[in-house]
Amino acid sequence: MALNNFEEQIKEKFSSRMIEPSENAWELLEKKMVQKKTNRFNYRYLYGAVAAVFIGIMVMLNFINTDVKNDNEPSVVESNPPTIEDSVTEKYKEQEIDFSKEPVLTQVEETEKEAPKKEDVLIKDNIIQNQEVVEIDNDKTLLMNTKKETLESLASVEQKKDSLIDKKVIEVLASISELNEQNGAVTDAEINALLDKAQKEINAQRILKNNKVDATALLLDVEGEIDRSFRDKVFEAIKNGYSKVKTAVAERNH
Amino acid sequence: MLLKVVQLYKNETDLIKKATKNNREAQHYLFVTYSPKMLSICRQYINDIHYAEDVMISGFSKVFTHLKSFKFEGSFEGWIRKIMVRECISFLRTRKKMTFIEESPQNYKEIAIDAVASLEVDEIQQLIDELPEGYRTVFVMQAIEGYSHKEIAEFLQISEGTSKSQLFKARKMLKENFLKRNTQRNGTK
Repeated sequence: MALNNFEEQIKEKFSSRMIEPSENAWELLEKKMVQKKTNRFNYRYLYGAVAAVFIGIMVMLNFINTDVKNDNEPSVVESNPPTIEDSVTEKYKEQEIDFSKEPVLTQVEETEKEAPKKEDVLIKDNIIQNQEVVEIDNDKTLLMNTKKETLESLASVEQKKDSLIDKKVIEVLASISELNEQNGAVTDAEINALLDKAQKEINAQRILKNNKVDATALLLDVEGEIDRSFRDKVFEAIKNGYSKVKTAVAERNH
Repeated sequence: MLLKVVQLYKNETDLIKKATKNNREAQHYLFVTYSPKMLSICRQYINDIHYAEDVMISGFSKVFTHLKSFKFEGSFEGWIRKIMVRECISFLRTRKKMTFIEESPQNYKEIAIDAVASLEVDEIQQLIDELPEGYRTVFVMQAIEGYSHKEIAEFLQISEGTSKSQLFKARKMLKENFLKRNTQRNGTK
């Protein structure tokens, strides 16, 4: 009882006690709150800056990766430049794919042609089917035309190429035979010089005839490489002997 | 009278709502209203008035920062008081002045110190200041703030037994100090 009384008395005394804070207490509190806010604000900026730096690094890495890829890509292209043969084979492949579709088209065509004969077929279906038949026929004729055109163009390209090379082969062989007759023997250096000269002429004529800049011809011209097919043909001709060459020369002279 | 009370309550609610939206005027008004009371509470726990004021300012800063979490379910003064007590305990912990010796529960005889109650508040405060930090904290929390031993144990992260023993020892020391003071004042043994 006495204890409770004591505690109650103390409680009362302390509850009624007031201690006025110093005059600048509120200013200190304000400063503290502003500081807290600025700290939070700074943290936001800090997080933003960190995020920006991270994004920047990611973008830079991405650029570096793409640059590395770009650096690699040209080397691949340069090592395997597209040749006429490649383009020809690609065209043939396309043709093959188109031809494989042909039986399907003919089957459809046959069924479509039979369709109008049946009496029970609906008019709507007939109209649609007839339209489809016309479209398919048009496609087929277009396909056939393109096929013919490409084959003709390819043949002419091959013929032109072969005739040019053959002409040069004959010229080279003639000059070799002339040298052989004059000197009694032909050195490797002389043959190589003739081949180089002929190759350059072929390349120059190719560029002039096509009216377009042939990347392959230019490349070959610059590098001074000899076309394999041309070289093979010359050596083949040498192998076969001079008899054939002589007749060719004689024919040319006449 | 009733109308006045209702109006006052409404005003305080509006004040708190304004203070929640960082209205400096409202915050200043709340500070002026409650700071003398809160500084008194802080002074109960902390000997130095300047440190007590620093802790009170820090406590008010937390009050205004976390004002959104006040749900208007209890009294606003009680909510601030709790924050202040926590702040004081946190301050004492950082200064490592508050130590507790864990003890098993015993039947402590309650010490009657009626004579102490007859003293003025400042004199009682002086007697409390002479107590070690641990004793004083438990004594203030239990005898003045009215916390139960369970609540004190949770606050201070000690066992209830330790809280009880601390209170017993605080009372004993308070009585001894009071008697000593009386003897010195009266000049008799």
